[in-house]
Amino acid sequence: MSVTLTEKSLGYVETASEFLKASSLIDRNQREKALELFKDIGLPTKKNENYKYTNLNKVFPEKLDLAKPSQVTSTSVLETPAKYTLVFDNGQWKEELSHLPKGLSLLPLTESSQPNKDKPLVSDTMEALNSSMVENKYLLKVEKNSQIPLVTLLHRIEADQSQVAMTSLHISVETGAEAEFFEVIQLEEERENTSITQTSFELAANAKAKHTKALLTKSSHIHVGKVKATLARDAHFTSLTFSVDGKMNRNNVEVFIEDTGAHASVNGLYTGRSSQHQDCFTTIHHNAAHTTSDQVFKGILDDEARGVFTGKIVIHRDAQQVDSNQLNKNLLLSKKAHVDTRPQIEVYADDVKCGHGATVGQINEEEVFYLESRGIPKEKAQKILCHAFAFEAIESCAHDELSTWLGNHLFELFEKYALEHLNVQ
Amino acid sequence: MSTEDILNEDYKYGFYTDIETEEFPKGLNEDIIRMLSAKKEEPQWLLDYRLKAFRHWKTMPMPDWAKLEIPEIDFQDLYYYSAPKKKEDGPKSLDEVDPELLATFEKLGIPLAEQKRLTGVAMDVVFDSVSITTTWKEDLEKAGVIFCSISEAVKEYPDLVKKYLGTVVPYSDNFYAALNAAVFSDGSFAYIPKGVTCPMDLSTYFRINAKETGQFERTLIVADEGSYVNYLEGCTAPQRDENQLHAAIVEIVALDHSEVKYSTVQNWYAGNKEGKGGIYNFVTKRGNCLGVHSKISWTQVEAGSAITWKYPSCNLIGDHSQGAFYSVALTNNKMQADTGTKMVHIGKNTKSTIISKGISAEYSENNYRGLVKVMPGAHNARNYSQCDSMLVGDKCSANTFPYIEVKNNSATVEHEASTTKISEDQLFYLQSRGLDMEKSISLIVNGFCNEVFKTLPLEFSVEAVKLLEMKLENSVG
Repeated sequence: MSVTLTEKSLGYVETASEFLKASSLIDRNQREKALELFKDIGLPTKKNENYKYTNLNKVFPEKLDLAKPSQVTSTSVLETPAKYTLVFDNGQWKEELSHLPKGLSLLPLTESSQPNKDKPLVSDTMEALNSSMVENKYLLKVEKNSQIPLVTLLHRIEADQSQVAMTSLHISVETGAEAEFFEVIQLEEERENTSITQTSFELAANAKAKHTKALLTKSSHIHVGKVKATLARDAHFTSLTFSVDGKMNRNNVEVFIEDTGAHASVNGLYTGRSSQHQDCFTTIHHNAAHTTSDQVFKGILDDEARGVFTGKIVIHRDAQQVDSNQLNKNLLLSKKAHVDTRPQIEVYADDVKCGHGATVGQINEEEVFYLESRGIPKEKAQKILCHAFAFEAIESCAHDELSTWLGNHLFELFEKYALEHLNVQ
Repeated sequence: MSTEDILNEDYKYGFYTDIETEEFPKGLNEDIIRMLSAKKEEPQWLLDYRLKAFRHWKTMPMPDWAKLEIPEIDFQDLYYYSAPKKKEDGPKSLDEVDPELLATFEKLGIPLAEQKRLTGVAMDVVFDSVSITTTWKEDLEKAGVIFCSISEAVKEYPDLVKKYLGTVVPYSDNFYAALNAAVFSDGSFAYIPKGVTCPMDLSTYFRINAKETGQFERTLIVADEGSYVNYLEGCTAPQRDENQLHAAIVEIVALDHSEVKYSTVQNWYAGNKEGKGGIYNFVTKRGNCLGVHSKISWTQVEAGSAITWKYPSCNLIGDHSQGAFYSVALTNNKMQADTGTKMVHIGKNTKSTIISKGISAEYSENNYRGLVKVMPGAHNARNYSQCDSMLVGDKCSANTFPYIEVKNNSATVEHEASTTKISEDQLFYLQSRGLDMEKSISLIVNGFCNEVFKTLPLEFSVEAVKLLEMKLENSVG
């Protein structure tokens, strides 16, 4: 599909072409291919079905100006439940602040080390922009049969007004290995800037990976991120997207289940206040028989916030005996909050079980009443119920300490916001 | 009957009636529209409306958002008007209608002759571009119900038509709606006055007969305060190797406390096994629940057409109004269907229900595409949607594309969908009780669709069950 590019997009294409011409990057060939893909669509507008509710062309900065790694000045490293942390400043690895566990190694990603060379490079226009322009691409390798405890991948973003920061990580989990990652996009200072991230997983046979992506950004930040995973035989992939702050977030999750016995669990939580915009877009491709997937996405929208969820399940021809489920639940807390949800199924095989459910509603009055009758004030009761609602999604990261940590973060955010709200009134 | 016979017989309405017809030259331009309008002795305002629609249509691209593969259609290579030749002043009674025509409808099982009083359904019959006859007129007149062809209504009741035509589906709505507004040739008009429960079911029967014609009919139903009507629609076409175009519009206006039930059994010719020929069914159907406590329900059984592009919708404008959509869509061979509904909640306490059952067999593609939209003012809006798909065979596909847009926090919207195949256990159970494979499957499929069939009027529901059985024959290994 080729569309007429907007003026802004044309500018982006020009900047990217100049960047590629001037650079001596080894994977220039691939980057040029990615740029060709970006040229097809450019910055998506409302006319693009996949971005129908999220007009990136409108909110993106006029000119493409990349943030430099040296701009990050902070020396403190975020405390997380993980023992090991890898720090990336605007996408560049910071060796002196990082600790790698045994069995995990980090290399620059080159054309030859690129896993899955025959696969199409990217499937999304923003991912294509990232692939062509991002300065540093890394390959994280989890050694065969090793077991890696929780590792934090901390992206510290510091960019000037209207600047764009990009990160790119490729994680290869070798046969029989198990790994858990907690990826954090952390914004150092409150500025109107943008980040485009990309994290892709390659799971070999019997590999297991858990991935939690948390956006600890600020209220004027725009984030567009992609998490991609390819699953080989009997591989297990669990993903949680924790998107609770920022001006506009677009989280893409795409999973390719390529061989039998593999399972993917893709989950997420998005919350929005004031005029925040949260968009989650998932695609699960079942390319093989006897594969399973499940999804739980929860949204809590307050004030004039807008939540968007699109979940695609595609069961390709001959992928028989697939079992796939999806659930999207949304809570609207205020009159002007707004939710758009599109749970979609495409089935090309006949012997499958596939279901989805979507609900939009408010806090159940009877549940509030029950708690009130037990002596809990109404406001507190509502807060408890909101939390319980969110926790169903948070729990899916399957790591006790991490889910507590995320729960606490959410709680603090709610409290802080409630206070601000009081002050305003 | 041997298997071969069944195979050859699968579309029993595929015959062609050799009848003298009057046609306009092929092609579409302002002159054709002027000719059409003059032929129908239409008032100036209607001609202006047509021309406005045509000029707008020329600026529109063909929509490509549906998951359908629509071959290029040459709109200049179609006849836009074809009518059986008739005597100067038209038939006054059935005796004057061409016997060839009557025989055609006899073959189709349509009780045109009024002696078949038992059926008790008033019918407007549309043959290619014109309405042939409307039965039971006198009985309806007694009750105050107006039921006639739309061209007649334009002459006899211009005020009513002018007031409501194009208010539900404006000519600028979409590509095919604009095309229809420019060239619609005939269709039905029904007006149910205040407080009247229509004494019998109203029905339109569409038949495409002529070659290379497009059928563009337009139905307008107005239910005044407190009235009730049950409306049925049926369609067939001859078996041909070329594709034919059918782009209709149905508009329903429901005022305070009124209720309209619209049921369709669509069985246009679907093309042969290789997907050659068949009707392109691009239809815009929409109802406005204008008044408080008004109700519109759409029930459809989509079993024909090579390509179906159809989304019967409800705009729930009046407070406490209700919309419902019940659908069974069956596709086999190489048919493609992209069908569903739109429920737009505008008034307070509005409710909508969507039950959609899709069955795809062989190489067909069956899509459900629906929108539930709750506007900011629609307090306490309530929607329940359920979309189930069943796959018969491993070369077909079933897709679900629901859109849910909620802008009011007091709304409760629920959506559920599932995709399954006929369970081996159920089949085994029925077979162990002595039913053969085909009967078992038909029983299970009917059970699967039961929720929708329940809402059909009796005669349609019998027809629908038969239709499904016939279509599924031999499609199951």
